[in-house]
Amino acid sequence: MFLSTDSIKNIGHTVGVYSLKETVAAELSSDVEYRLRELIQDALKFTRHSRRARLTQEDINSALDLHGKYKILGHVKKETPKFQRVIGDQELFYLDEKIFELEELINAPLPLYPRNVSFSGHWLAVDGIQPRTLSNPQFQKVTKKQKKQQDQQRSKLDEEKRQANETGNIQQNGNENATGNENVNSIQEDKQQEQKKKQSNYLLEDLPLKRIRRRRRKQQESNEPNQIELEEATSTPQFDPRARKNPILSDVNLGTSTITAKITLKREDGINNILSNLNIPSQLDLKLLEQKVQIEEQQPPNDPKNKNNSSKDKNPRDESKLKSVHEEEENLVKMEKEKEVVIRHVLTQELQLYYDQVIKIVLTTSENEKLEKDLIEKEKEREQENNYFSNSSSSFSSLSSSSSTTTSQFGNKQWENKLKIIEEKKEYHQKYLRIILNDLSQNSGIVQLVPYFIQFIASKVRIYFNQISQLITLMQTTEALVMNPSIKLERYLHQLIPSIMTCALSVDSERDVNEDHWKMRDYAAQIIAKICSKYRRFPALQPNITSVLVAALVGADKRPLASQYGAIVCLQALGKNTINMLLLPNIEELLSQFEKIINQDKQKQQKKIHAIRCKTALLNSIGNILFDQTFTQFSSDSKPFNSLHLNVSNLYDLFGNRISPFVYSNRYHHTQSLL
Amino acid sequence: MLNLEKLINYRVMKYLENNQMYGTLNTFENETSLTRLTNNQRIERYNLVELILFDPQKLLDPQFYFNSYQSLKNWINTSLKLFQDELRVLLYPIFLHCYFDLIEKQKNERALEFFHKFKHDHLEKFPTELGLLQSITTKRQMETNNFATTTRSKKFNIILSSHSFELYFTFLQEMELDLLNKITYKYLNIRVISSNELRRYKIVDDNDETEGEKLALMTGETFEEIFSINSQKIEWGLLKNCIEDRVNEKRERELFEKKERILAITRKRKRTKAKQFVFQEPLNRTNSLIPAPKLTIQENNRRIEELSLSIDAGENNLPSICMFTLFNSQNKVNSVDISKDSRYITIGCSDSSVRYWDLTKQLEKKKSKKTNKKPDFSKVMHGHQGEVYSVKISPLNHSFVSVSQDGTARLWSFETDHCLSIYNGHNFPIWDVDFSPFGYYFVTGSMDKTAMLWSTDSERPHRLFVGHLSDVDCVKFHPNSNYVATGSSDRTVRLWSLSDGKCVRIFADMKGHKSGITSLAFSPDGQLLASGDEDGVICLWDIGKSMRIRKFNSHDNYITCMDFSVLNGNILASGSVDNTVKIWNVELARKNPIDIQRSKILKHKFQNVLLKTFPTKNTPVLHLGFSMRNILHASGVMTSDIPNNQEF
Repeated sequence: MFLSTDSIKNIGHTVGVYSLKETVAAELSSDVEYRLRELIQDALKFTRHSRRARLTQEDINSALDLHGKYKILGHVKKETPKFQRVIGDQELFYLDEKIFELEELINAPLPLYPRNVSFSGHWLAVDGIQPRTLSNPQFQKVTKKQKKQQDQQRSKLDEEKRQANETGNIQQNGNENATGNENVNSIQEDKQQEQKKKQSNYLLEDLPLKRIRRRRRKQQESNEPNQIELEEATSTPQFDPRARKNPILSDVNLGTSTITAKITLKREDGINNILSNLNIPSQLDLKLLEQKVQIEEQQPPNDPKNKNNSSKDKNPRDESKLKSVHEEEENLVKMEKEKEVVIRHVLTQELQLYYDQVIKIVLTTSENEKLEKDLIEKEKEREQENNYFSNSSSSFSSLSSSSSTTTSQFGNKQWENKLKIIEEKKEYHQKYLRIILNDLSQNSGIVQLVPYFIQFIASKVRIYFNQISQLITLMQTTEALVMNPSIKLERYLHQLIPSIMTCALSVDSERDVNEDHWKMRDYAAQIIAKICSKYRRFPALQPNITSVLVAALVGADKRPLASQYGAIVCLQALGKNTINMLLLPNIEELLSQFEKIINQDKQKQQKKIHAIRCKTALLNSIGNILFDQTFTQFSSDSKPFNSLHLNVSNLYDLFGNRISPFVYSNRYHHTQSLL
Repeated sequence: MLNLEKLINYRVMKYLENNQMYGTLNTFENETSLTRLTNNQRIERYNLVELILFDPQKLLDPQFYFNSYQSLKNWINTSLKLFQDELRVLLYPIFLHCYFDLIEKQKNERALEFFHKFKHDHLEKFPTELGLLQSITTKRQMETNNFATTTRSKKFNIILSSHSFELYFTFLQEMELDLLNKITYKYLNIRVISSNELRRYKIVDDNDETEGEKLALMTGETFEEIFSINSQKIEWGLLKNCIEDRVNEKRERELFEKKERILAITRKRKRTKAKQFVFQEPLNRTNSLIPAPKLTIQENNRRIEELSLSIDAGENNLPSICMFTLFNSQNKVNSVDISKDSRYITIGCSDSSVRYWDLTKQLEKKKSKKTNKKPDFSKVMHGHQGEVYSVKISPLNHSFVSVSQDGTARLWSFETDHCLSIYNGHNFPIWDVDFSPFGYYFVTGSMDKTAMLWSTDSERPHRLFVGHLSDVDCVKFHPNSNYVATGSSDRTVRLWSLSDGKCVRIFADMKGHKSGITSLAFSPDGQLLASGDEDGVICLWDIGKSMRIRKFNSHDNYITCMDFSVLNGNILASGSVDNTVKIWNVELARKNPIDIQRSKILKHKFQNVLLKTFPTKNTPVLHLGFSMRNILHASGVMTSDIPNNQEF
């Protein structure tokens, strides 16, 4: 029952019928229910034909219209109206509707004009492969089953390859033996027998027992034993189209497994013909196949059993059986022929364009810088010339001097204009760079480009070694690549990390005049930290990196201060644990070294500045860890370090008052907690 | 529960009869005092039983309905597994009619009790029907309700093997269940088939990926009528001198000439004559049965040129899919169509407007770059007085037709951007429309259970196709334009001849569709018909043999659109509300399942008919269509809300 008799009575009250009998109300309620159901059923038809999942008011109106009833008119809001329970009555509901003032409605500002229906086109699939672009759904998870299958295939393939290699070796030996000793020949035969055993073992592993028994039985009966292998080859489930995800792999598998069948079929046609039927992906596999073919051709005469059988039994029944098998084989070959294996080059034109564009924009940083430098140098030269000219022309007449000033003014203006243009260019470039970096960090379609990008970064870091701004943009691109969730860099880390480390640690006396190199080192440190956290599951990664860093730190006297700075920053970025483990034990030594340089009067100003930088970096990292340690003492959530490698009091001795801000804050917390 | 002895006696008699031992049979009959009956006699006998032995007191007692249904259910559940599936089909119709009987006798409360007691047997299979049934609670409602009247006036068609029929028959006799006798006689069409025939059915079923349960079907015709309709000869081949043949001829000629050129060198030595190229037209080509204006030579040549550029799509050569996603639709786009040459995109909206885009114009404007703003050339045209449910572009590319809730179809011109004519005929909302492949004719399917054939130059319909028991949800023209297929909510697909307006095929299979048909597609050679339903099941029918050959079962929600690839039709693409496009291997499915069963080698391969699934980004696919060059155009509406499955 949708409606209780009470609610029917209540509805009656609203219309003006006050005395409804119970029976009448019950009758009415069942009828109302019927009508409502009918209405909803019809409305659902409308919903389905408007390709919607949800029933709307309009559908109900359409259904009402269909039955010749008046539509329910009203001010349609976006939200569907809600039924509310009457307070104090469990059975009664009312529609929660607002009463609108007509004037308000009329005078209300018009709502925004809804956006027009528009469309955009994209490729959902290109030749049956879904491109990984933003307009397609991002994930295509490989299910566990598929993974298992692929793994099985892979292992099978490996096994087959290994076998084929072994047989190939044997085969080569055999060829030599044909001209050589007979003794070796006997050994050779043994080997071949072993080989056969292995093969049979292999078959045993893969095939159900029944099939093997049948195969053996048939082998005894039929005169052409190899044909049974056809059945095996085809009946093993390798035709799963889902396995086509990795086309080369599955096709190789196909090739090696079905080739045996074909060889028996068309032996007289020659190897070339068979091979032309299949499109075999690589030359290696071709070789494998050839070797297999040789084995297949040589085996039957070697096997005395088969020979006898073939000469003895020739029943007409068997022949008819064979015929049917033959037909099936032919069918199979036909199907195989139809199955063209297409191996495409991976890079599409769009990707190529994308790559070119990215590289172009990334490299314009250095161009802009060059332009600026050139301009500044030119200006300097011009000024020098001007100075020279004005100095020399001071003795000349006032006319010429005035002209010279005008020229210099004119030159200034021109120079300013040029500078403006360059700045505009820079701004424009920055804008585009931001867009590109943003895209690099999100686009899932650039997976195929990753090796190219890595190569690009590695080579350009070497080339633009002395241009800080360029190096920074390169680091930005690497960061974008690292941050991209759909790119997996595991295979390229060995290429990527050295170039980042160069940015962090390397020293160039000319380059480092520019203040920006500190910034670059900080940046590189951050990237390294990100990589370490992203690829945490490789346990050897971080230790390798830190060992390099520590070597850069502690070979102290010979190392330039800038690279030490880089190492400190990197270690700091890698987290508190690393600071605790690697920085703290060396801190005294390092600090004393830096102090020495700072306090020496003889030292160059620049070196002193470097040393101060290093010291502040050290202080920063120590402060970090100290703050954390003292802070965690009062919060029960995270564990404090069990053992700091240095006492806080020792740190006081080393740093003096500078450390107090960190400790002070902790005291502050302490007092707060006490309060 | 059965009298075993008697059953064994019947079996012995059957055995004797089958082996033609009539002498023994006669003596056996005499000794056991049983008489052998033909199937028809048996059914007639029920009638007699009802007339003579009928006990009116018994039938008045509603408890009797409970008892008989319960005992039938128990008997079926305890019978042999082999026959259970077949016999279970009987339960639903008997359930229905018991309920209706109770209501007819005005035992409303008992009827409800009956419904709630036994509804769980059928809730899974017939959710919508049970919903309807539940709403009918009085006799008066039953008389006015559409569903009730059709089920009462039409008969269910049920196929039983001879053995299970015998079991059922003896069961009814043993238990003296007159009530079930009556219902069986009055409301069921039982067709008894031999075990050989049954095996044929089974083979088809075995190849399906999922074993479906059989369902009772209702078409309004008896089995004999269906059989006579389905055994009519149909000329499903393409027209003589059709474009496809011309293209094939062209291709073959090119191949032939290539070979000739290569062979020419060797031939010089041998001095044999060069062969003449002869194209053999396939034998099944037919003539057009209806008068229609021919395509112009230009149009013909254009089509041939386009088609000959197409790449054959197949298992190893999957097509490219170009997806057009509609944005900012605000739930108002009901239908999309893209023209075959991908020049126009039309949409039908729920605000009663139709819109279209001319893509070539858009390209021109983009090239000229006069304005910085993105050009939007959708032309909005108003005219309908209700939601537009379907739009279809004419294959001649100068107009399109739209159908609406107001029961009219309208023809719109691309050249003048105006409505050209209005077609009044249906009384109820029109759900779907399709153009003939040569233009001029179009067909509409409506809620009033009929489909109509129109020509663009006449205001009145030429043909009226009546026969479906529920709404006609989708219509499709046969590629030779002599036939029209209609799919309906009554779970059947029918094929109609245009020349005389008669039904020539009824595709209704007990294991076929379990819900209303939502989409249809013909293979380009005219042999196959694919039909998709609300559950996401696709059935593939052979038109010539009038039987189901395959069932594809992978979609999660209802299928909105399907299309076969051009020329060879090796691939079927289907789009659904579950945000996927799926590609099916028809080439494999086409192969005779019986042959395939014989050759076990191919069987495992036979199973993988689903070639690939392409998920879209929150976009239910509304339209799919292969262009002349075999590029698949898909389009859908981007939605923010996730579609829920309809639940009962």
